[in-house]
Amino acid sequence: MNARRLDRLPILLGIFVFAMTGIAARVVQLSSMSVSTVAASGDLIHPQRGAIWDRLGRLLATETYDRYEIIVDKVHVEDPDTLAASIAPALGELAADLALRLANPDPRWETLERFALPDVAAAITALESPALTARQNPSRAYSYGADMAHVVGFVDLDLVGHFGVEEGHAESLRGLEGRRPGRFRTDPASYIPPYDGADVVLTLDAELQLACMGALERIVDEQDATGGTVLVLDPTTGAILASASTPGYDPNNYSAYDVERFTDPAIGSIYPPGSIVKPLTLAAAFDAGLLAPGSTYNDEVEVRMGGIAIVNPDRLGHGPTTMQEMLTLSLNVGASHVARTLGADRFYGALRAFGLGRTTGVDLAGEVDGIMPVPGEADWDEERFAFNTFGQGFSTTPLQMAVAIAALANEGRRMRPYIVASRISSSGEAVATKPQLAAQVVTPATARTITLMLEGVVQDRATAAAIPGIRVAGKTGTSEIAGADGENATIATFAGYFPAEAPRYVVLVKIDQPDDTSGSHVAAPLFREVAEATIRVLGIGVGAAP
Amino acid sequence: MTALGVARGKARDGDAAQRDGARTLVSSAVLAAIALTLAGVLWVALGTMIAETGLRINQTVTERQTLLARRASARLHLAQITHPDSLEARARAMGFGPQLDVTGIAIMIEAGSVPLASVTASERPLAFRLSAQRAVEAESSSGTLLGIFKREEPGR
Repeated sequence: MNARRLDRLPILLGIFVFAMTGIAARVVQLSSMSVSTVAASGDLIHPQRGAIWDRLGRLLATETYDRYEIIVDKVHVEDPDTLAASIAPALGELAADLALRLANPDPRWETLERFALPDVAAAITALESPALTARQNPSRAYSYGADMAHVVGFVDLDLVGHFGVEEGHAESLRGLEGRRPGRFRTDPASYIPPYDGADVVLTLDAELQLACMGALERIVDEQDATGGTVLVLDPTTGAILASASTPGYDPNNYSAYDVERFTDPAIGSIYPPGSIVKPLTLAAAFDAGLLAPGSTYNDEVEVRMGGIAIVNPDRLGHGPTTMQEMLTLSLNVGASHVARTLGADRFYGALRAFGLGRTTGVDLAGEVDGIMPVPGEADWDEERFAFNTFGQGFSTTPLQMAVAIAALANEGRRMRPYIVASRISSSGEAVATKPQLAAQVVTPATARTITLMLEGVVQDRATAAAIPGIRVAGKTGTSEIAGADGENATIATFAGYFPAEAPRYVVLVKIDQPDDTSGSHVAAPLFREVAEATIRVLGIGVGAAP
Repeated sequence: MTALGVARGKARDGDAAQRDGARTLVSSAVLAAIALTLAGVLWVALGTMIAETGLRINQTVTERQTLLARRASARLHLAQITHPDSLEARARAMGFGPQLDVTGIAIMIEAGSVPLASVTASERPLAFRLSAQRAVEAESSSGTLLGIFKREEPGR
């Protein structure tokens, strides 16, 4: 028995040696596998930044991986001169300069090129040098380019969002970085999975946006204007359906443009709104019971207020005038009558209630307040009040004006505007944005009365904005500003909504410094073109808008 | 039994005890070696499993990156071919587009076969030249689309 055991000893020793050899071989194999991946990339796992889609699922922005980071691990550089000579042409660098960098051991890992093209990466990989790694480096692509630039914004080389949705929803889009498993990639305990950013779906319609941008650019070109803005809103929810502004920039090549171009004029540029404020102050006067549609006043050639002479655009006095006539002819003398009837406190209270002079809270980065001093503030005086009565002397953004007009279209309810309809997490969970009521500015009855009066404006005066078969309510505005050469220049605007009996869309158009200074000549036809495009793209029936 | 015999017997017993002791020692050593080897194998095996798991995670991360890149590429390609400008260009290349010289559309309404467009001798129906979308709209809203009327070009 014991003898047999002793006989087995060499066998056992053989097994032992075999097992140990196997174990040793496995350890060597694992070590070599680990080391080969050490220099491949950093330990962090990049989370994919969320994509941006339009309301119908058209891709507006996504992360791409067609650029490569070329990294050198200098420990594995045996001959810096030879290696430099072989890669310098592909990297577009002088071999001598590159050799100096490769010969310097500190830092061990160095990025030679951050956004190399695929052919450069292929050339580097083909060398099969253990010192060189070509790693995909994420960047961002914008499939609608300049047509969506102001709304979408852009990300820089470090994938940090700037302007628009990219900055306004950076928290959702960005995601969280993960970490690879340990230094040698073999320790699963230290693995942290990345959390990809959420996709965001906009309320905006890409086809309508293109139509708006095309129409706007054509008018700006024809009128030799300095720029312009078109906004289309759903007044019942505050959803922004289109927001086109020019001049813009291409987010795929943002570094080629001046930084001024990055500001979205719809939310970041201010202008005096002009006569478009007249229906707002009139609504406040109706709501307070101080005036009624049938109220009249004596329209004189000139009235003095705060030390300045207020005259009508046609420089005429129209005698006994109704509120409808005041609105249709856009009479400044009548607007000052309305403001005086309201009093300064009620007048500014109404403008504030409609949301003017304050950010709207839209979910886009770069929104500004506007400038509207009120009684009690240092910049306010009676002279400013006089100018303010007809929309001069204070400034708003186009979005503020569109939201104010949308309140009239929505039975006096001012909605908070928004552009992100929903966010979809990387796990597929969707969170829809709920429309938010910002304020009930005037009663539904007052809003409907003003709507009827604005229909009259389109029928009798701004006929270029009329659409056959559709009831349109709207108002022109022509505001004066100082031009670049110091001379007076104008901004032509038109804001309206349709169908007037149950408004579904609000459109605001604004043309900066056109050749033709009349709002009804320049802005009203553009309004009609945009309105027709809106009907064509989104429809006019129930449920057409998101 | 003589004293010599007794002594020899004791010596044999001593040798046997020594041999037994040696055998026990060797057996114990072998068992210890086996146990140690097994423990070592287990230890290395566990380490190997952990390392393999880590490497698999690492490979999966790399594979994920590849898939993300492919998805991004596919998304962009889809965005390019479904861009409204691209669709319009292809539609026009296929012959779709607004018929600027259309003078009317004849539609059969349910109340009776009353064409909504008047047709003169100089006009003739050119059906099915309208874009597909418009035709569907006309058909769904008003009845059956009968034809589209286009003014005769001079000399025809």
